[in-house]
Parts: sequence; C-alpha cells; structure tokens
Amino acid sequence: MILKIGWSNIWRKKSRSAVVILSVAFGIWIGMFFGAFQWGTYVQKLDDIVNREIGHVQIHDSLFIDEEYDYNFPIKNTSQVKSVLDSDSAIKTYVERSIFSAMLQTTRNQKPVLVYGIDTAMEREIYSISSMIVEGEMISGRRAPTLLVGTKLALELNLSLGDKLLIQGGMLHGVKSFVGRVRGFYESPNKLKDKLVIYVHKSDLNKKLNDDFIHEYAIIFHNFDSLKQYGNRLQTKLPNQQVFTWGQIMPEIKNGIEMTDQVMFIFMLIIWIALSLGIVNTMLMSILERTRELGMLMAIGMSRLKIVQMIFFETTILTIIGVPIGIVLSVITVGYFGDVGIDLSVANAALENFGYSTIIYPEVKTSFYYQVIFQVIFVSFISTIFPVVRALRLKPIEAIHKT
Amino acid sequence: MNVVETKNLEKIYSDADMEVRAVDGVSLVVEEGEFTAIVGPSGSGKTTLLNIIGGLDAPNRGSVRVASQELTELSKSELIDFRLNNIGFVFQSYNLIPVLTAYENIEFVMLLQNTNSKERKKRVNELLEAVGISEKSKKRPSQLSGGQQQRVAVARALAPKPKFILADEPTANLDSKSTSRLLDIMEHLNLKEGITFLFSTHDQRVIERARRVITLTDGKITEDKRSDE
Repeated sequence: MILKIGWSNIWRKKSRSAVVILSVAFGIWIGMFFGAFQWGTYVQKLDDIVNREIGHVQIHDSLFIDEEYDYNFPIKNTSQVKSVLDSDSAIKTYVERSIFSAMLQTTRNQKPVLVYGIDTAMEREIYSISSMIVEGEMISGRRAPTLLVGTKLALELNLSLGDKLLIQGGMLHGVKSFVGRVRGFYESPNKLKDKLVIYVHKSDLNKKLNDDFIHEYAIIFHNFDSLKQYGNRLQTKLPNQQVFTWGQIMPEIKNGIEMTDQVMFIFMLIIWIALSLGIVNTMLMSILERTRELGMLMAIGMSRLKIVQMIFFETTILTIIGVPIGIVLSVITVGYFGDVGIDLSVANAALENFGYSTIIYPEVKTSFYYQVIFQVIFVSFISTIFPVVRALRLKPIEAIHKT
Repeated sequence: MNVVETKNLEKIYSDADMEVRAVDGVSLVVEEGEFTAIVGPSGSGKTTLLNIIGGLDAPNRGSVRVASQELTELSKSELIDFRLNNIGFVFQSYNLIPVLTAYENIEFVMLLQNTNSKERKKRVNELLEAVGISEKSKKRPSQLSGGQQQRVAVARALAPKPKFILADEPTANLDSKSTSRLLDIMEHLNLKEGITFLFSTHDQRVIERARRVITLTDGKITEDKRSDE
C-alpha cells in the first residue's frame, strides 16, 4: 500500500515527475555523451600518437633522455636488443628507426627537421604510413633517397613533388648531409609532426650517412594495460639501454589526457550538482504540497521509517524510469556521432597545437555505463535526503491544520 | 474502566510578549463506552486538549494516561506506535489519502499494524457496512461527498480497533443531513459496540446527542454535565 501511495504520488503532478525523470535522463545522457567524447578523444589520441607512432614503450640509448632527447646516441648492441624483443611473447610487434636531427634546406629556405629512417615493411606492422599520403607515392629503398614530407612543412617551404632537398645535420663524428627527392606528401592527425618529421627509407639514410645505426625501437604489446610491468621486464633484460613508456616519452600527451580527465571531473560535478538541485527542488515541492497528508499519516501512526520508505520509493521509481531513457538517448547519440564523428574544425588551430585530431569519434566503455548509472542513482538518493528530513521534521498537529 | 485520565494538565503557549494558557489545570476521566463532547468557544482549548489526549502534543505539566499508559513517558516513536494501536482519529477536514479508494483508506491503517490480509478484508467490509458506504468502496475521496468522506474517516479510525475515537470538530464541514447520518452511525457504534467517542465541537446538533458534555472556558473545565443528570 505504501508502494501504491508512492506510485500514485508520482502521477499526481505529471509535469513535476517529468522534471525529475528528464533530469535523471539528461544527467545520464550528458554524462555518457561527454564521457564517450572524452574516452573517444583518449582512444584516438592513443591510436594517432601512441599506437601508430611512439609505440607503447620505446627503447633508446642510455644517454638519450640524459642528453635531452639527443639522437646523436644510437643504441649499442642492437643484436642483443632484437634478440630480447624477438623472444618476448607479450610483444605484438616492434619497429626500429634511425633518426637524424637536421636542417632541411631549399634554395630559398631552411627548417629544422627530424628525419625518420624507417623500414616501411616493419612500420606497416603497426601502421600503414602509405594511408596518410595525400599526394605522390610511398618511399622505397633506391639509389637516391626519396622523401615523404608533411603537408604543413611542404606548404611552409612551398615544396612540390620531385623537388630536391638538402638535409644537413651534425652528428657526434662530424657534419653529415645528403640530398633527397620529394616522393610524396603525407597528412597525419598530428599536425606538429607534419611540420617536423620527414620520412626516408632506413637503408637510404644509413647508406648516405655511412653508418648503420638505430636510435629507437618502438614496441607494441598485445595488452595495453600492463605496459609498466612489461617495460620493467624489458629494462631488466636490457640494462645498458633505457626503456621508456609512451607517457615518459611524451609527457605532454599524458598530462593532456590527465588534464582532460580533471576538466571532465569538474564538468560532471557541475552536472551532478544541477541534477541534484533539480531533484531536491522537485521532491521538496512534492513534500510541501502533501504536508497535511503527511501530518495525518504521522498522526494515525505511520512510522518515520515508512515515511522515509515511501519518499525514497518515489525517487527510485522516477530514477528507474529516467535511467533507461537516458541510456537510450546516449546509445543513439554516441552511436551516431561514433560513426560520423564530431567535427571540431572551428577549434582546429588549438587542437592541432596539442597534436589532436579535429574529428572526434565518441566511444563508450561498457564499464562507463555502469559508472554513470551508479553516479546518477547515487545523486538521486543523496538529493532525496533533504526532502525526507523536511518531511520527518513536520509536526503532525501543525501539518494537519496547514492550509 | 478509565480510557482517558488527565491530572492537572497544563499547556502554555508563550512568546516574547505574552503567555497563553491553552489548557489550564484540566483533570478529567473518560470511561469506556462514553459518548462525550468537549465544547466551548473558539480558543477555549478544546483542540489543544484533544491533541494532548491523542498524543499529538505534549503538556507542559500534569499527566495524561490513555488506556493506563502515561503518554508523557513515551518517546516520539513509541507515541507513533501507541497512537496506531490505541487511538482512532477523525479530523475536521476528513484527511483521507486522495490516491487511495475508500476501501484502501480504511485498510491502510491495518496494513501499518501488519494485520493479515484475510482479517483486513473482513474488517474493512464490516466497517464499510457499518458506516453505510459499501457501494462506494471503490471510489476515491474526490468522488465522494463530504459526509461520505467523513464516514470513511470514521471507519478508518475504527479499523485498528482502538481504545477510543478522538474526533476534532467532525461535523464542522457537513450539512444537516450528513451530520445527522454521521451522528447516527457514531451513536450506533457507541451503543451497540461500546466504542468510546470523545469529540470537540461547537455544533449544537452534536451537543444534543452527546451523553456527556464538558465545557471548557479559557482552558479550564467550567462544566461537566451528563445527560442522565
């Protein structure tokens, strides 16, 4: 009967109940959608930068970080490194790269660049660089080195396919230089990279620099969640090299993701407070409108516990109705934007500067559904406490005679 | 057997400027089976006295025993439980639960008492019959007249088998016909089933039917008259 009273109370003022139901649905929807947006950004960032470029962990020479990311220190004893990597079953794939920090010179201009000597077959194992090519063709090992240049850099230096470029840089044992021909232009989600990195085939680079060096191994594991453990294991096996996780290599990305988490937390907090105020206000109205009835119930012997149960039952029902509405809305909107993406090109410059893609594809982890649903239910119940306390403070004789 | 016994009951309302003695040294005994009206002008303390006897308000001084239980010794939650099992309330404005039918309004109090379903059904039907609204049992309060609502309220008050019924101005919102019908029912329940009624009123029709009339003036009993005297 208490449940029946609670149930009937909900439908006494349909518009009021609708406010609570929609508040809960909106809370779920906005929480899910922005959570999906945040997670989508995170996943995309990992995919763009970590999975395709940095790798989950990297191996460098022991002086690499001490000398502030100095590519003048190639990895020693690469055969031992390769042997360790080949025998580790947790590793999905890895690539080896030669990196030459240099100045790119044209007849009119010059720019600092990082020349990545890559093994195209190996790189294809983690990411197809050729899919980023917007003009021209993929580089290949030839007599004359061919270059893949980022569109941003090409635009700045007014480069065309077939242009010859002089690349010159200082190494530990003297200044080295070579001439390469532009074979293609690429465009990656990371605009910073497009301005800085030039790809050349590793064999071409080594040939031209008269050296056979490797500066980094970028490693992809089967399981992303155990990177620290895997990294530590590799470090133990390779004491003369340094093993870095992606977060150590590019702390700005890790910090960016953490900052996004904090912004999201504040955002969600505001949403929950707004939801909470909506519920408190509506339930309080409901209590105040029923003052006489509650007074009578107390007078005839309804215990405080039963009054608490009745009011919480009302909130529970409203929440139970609101939650699936919110979930359906979330599934539809996250599903839709997960397919077509959210174009943030209006904020293009700012995003590019952080190395972000301008199109975000929201994506939701199943656990996030549970998390948001739990949070909304929790907020709903917490918000009901104040109206319940107000109800319990009513004095039956005053409440009965309230007009 | 004494159903209600008060001794030197005092209730004082005070603010910064003045002090009002709503109930001033009231000593009173109501025995089982009485049909008693407490009368007096507005502000004489009728409702306050009834509230104290009903355990809805606490006196500043004195004692109030209901069914041999001293109410001033009970905690708030014990009082709620005591009211549920010992006192039936009928209010001036009926105060039925609007979302429940007449049947459910009567049954509700027994649910609070955890009475089993078979017993509830039997008792509700008996009470609906007793107050003459069996055919309206499925109607909600908004579909009933004032008189019918008050009869449901009387049935609800009787449902938990209380020691007595407290009725605060039960006929104040009723027309003559409804008042007469309600009084017939209450009188019948009193005479045939021995249910004790104690009501506050200034309705002359009620006063004429009461077998004992206690007059309150400025919080004091100024007259206590039985019809057989």
